Amino acid sequence: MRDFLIGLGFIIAGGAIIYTAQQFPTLPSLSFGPSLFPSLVGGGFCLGGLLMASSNIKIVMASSGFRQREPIEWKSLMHSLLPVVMIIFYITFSDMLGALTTIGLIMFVLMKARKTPILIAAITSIVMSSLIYFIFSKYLLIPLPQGELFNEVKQWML
Amino acid sequence: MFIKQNQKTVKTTLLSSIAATVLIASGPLFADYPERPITLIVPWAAGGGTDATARTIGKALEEQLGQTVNVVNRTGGSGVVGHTAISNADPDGYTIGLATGEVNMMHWLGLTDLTYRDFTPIAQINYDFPGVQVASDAPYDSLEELVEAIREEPKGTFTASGTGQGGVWHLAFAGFLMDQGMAADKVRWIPSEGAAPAMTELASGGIDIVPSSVPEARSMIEAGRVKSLGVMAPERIPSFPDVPTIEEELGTDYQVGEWRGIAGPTGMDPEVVSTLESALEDAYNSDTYQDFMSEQGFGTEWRNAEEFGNLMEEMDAVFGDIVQQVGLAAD
Amino acid sequence: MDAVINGAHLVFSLDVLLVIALSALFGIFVGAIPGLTATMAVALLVPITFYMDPTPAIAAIVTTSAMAIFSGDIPGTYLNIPGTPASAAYVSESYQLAQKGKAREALGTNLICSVFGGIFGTIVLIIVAQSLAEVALQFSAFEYFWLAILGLTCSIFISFGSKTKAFLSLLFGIMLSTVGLDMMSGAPRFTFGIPDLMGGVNFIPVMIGMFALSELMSYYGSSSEKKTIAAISKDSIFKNAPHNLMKYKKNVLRGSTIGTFIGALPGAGADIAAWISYAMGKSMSKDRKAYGTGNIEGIVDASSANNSGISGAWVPALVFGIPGDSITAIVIGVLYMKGMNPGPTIFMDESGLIYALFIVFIIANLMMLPIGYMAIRLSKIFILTPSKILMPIILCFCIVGAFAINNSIIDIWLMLIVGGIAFVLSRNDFPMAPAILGLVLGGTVENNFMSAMMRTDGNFLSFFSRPISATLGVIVILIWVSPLIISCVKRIRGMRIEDTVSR
Repeated sequence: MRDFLIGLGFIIAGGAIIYTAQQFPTLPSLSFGPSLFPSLVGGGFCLGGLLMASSNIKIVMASSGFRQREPIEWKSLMHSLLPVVMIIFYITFSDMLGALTTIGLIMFVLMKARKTPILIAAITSIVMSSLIYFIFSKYLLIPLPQGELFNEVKQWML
Repeated sequence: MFIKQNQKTVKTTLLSSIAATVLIASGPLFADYPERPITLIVPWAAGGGTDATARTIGKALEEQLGQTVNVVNRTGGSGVVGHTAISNADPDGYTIGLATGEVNMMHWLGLTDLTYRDFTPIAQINYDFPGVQVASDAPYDSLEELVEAIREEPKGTFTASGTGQGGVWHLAFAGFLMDQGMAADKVRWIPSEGAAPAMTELASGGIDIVPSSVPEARSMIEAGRVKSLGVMAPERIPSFPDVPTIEEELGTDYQVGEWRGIAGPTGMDPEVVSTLESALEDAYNSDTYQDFMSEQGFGTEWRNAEEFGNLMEEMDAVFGDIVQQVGLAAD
Repeated sequence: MDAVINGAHLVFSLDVLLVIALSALFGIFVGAIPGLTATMAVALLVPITFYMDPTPAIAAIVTTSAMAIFSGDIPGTYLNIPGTPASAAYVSESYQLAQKGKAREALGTNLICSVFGGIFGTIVLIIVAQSLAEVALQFSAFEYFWLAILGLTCSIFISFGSKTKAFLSLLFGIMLSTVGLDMMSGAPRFTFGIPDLMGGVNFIPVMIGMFALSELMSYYGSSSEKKTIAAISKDSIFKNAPHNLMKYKKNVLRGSTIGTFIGALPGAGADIAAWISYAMGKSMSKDRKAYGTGNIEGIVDASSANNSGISGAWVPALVFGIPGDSITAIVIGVLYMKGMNPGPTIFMDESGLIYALFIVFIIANLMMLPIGYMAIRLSKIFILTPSKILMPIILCFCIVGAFAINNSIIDIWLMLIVGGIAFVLSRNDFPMAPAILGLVLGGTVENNFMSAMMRTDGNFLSFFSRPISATLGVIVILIWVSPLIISCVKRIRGMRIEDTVSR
């Protein structure tokens, strides 16, 4: 059943790609151009999706639809989205809070989510986030956001 | 795009109130500029010629300003990514960039809405001229012979490469053909990721001409695989004294090349600009910078903020015309 | 001879040796962090080498890249998160071995093969750089097209389970490679008006998303605090290595040869080398069935190949100033900056810089043994640290690592989106490794195809008009067609097909 749905997904994606690719220009001296490869890929998506869906459809039909479906564990699915939420948190707030604070918070929350004792979680997050921050921004010269909030406050304090 | 805007709104709403008070409290902001490290955005990859130029001028600038200059590479999209980052930066003088001639091409090609008007020119520090390189076993001994051969053969007989479609060497060479009274697309352009892969193709016989800058061909010239027939510069390049100019060869004063200069986003404080401008002039004249550039064979050319702005405007029209003629103009 | 002595003098000074030791540690460290790669390690070094003398600067880069390529296999083995596209070829193999409690044996053998491959490549570089570069220069768009197709074919050929799924995964990678400004026409594709996407999709955030993030998501999805690696492995690092090497000495040699040669081609690097040699190892192996279940043989082939490819890539870089891979592309810039202009003259230079470089190469590869050994021992930390503490730290490294390659927030989004898709796909038994190769080689295939077509007015037969190109083309077609022929023959004989049954 899952394979059937994923196959269907690929067919739709393939169609969308082919459709989008039609709007690309062609090369001066040739009858094809930048649309050729995306179209081939889109075609491949459709073909592969079709293969997956059709080899699966017999099973779906035979089991009269939905009996084969494994129960989706919604709870575990929500849990697996936790890292995703954390990354979005970083993207949204790192400019304001600074990379150091943001990754520290992320570590702490994730560790607590797995019931790490609070003291261990706090200490490891502080130590590791500072370590990561300093290695990257001071040693490797990556311009990690410093946090506008703190810059402003610092300026105000002076 | 939506991502950026989202971030901006969150940021602004949360910060505006704090920022407002701080602004009033801290008085004239630019009094002691620069008081923290400066970021220099480079739209091209680490290790390339532009990157090296940026790092050298950055180092020299550091000595002048007494502040660290961090070079940050924002690559890709024929320069669109990095130039967009420069023009979107806060105009506080702490983020500037090394803008390149692509500013005058990208918008004509329809890649971006960004034009030279979206930058504050600070200073031009370098100018590179295209050469005309062919394989060393090619049957032409002078530029004149090559030009005659191109003229006589039908369109598309000759192929050339060295940048992507609409890249600087493509347009410069197309302009050269136009200058010689031929159609801009008389020589077929085979796009490549840069001069290096084009050199391999040239040596393996895949293409006929690589109109890159002469220093980019240096190692292949030394290896005896490639010869340079001419350079589209007003005078010979000191590190390649054997390569004649096109004026000597063909009597034309055509010259279009790649400029590099320091620019910032619009809306910069004039005081900051002039601080940077004078620091850059000293950095430009420093031994650090001059020695490096002459060793590499890169051309040096100084223009102050105003002249640099004029150059950008002038070149914009030139490239607009070429792009139109080559048939690459966006609708 | 003077030049050799000069070179030795340049290398055997306290500060150069110190730089080598420090960069070895740096390389091991960066490579071993899930999500950080060898190319990135070198890119991060550029600003630092800018302030160094030529010899230490080159030494730093050579050492770092060799170390990082090897240590990228450490998180691959323990966490199923490969360090480079090259090690993605055999990551499932070494992860399976780790689950059998043979993590250290796998890494130990890998280490020795890497050292051998690296030194082999260096010797080739020293002895036949000039003539090998001549051969490499015979390759043009036609040949690179076939070579890339060969690499892609191998990724399907060596995948396990459903070939349809492997194929779709490969296409997913190729699809990602089409995002951005099309080099041939200059037209933006699938950029949705986001300027950052004009530059295309970088493989680093994609790799982090596909392997690290999707691994993290499944960890948080499962409620058990299970140890991913069976017990704390007590197996010895080097005990079985001599036995493995003797048994597979042909594989080591073959891997190193393929690696050096493909590495020396300017348009192909260690990644294609690793996949092709892994596939060759599989097709020539006596027990082909053991592949994919944790077989040390596959690791021998591919890990010799990727380290020798790193050395091989220096061949065209030094002889013609043309980069053999993404690392040497950076190196050439540094060489220029240090006044060592690549080209034939570099070999005649009396100051001995080139010999210093060769000596550094050999030292760096030999240093890999003790430092790699230490790293393998230290990597116990991946098992000793409880997952609930390790995983959050990995996530933070992933975020910062994805950002660091281009200093762009878009890359974090990219990691997130690709990671989400990869999570769904890998839960449904899609292999992810072909997608990485698709992304890395997609552009090579397309650009070389288009470039060849533009030159020949769309005449497809031109792909068979040059001798090397025609040979490669025939090999690729034979690989495609042979399973069909074999299955036909078998069917005629009334035998059942064993190998091609899909799950």
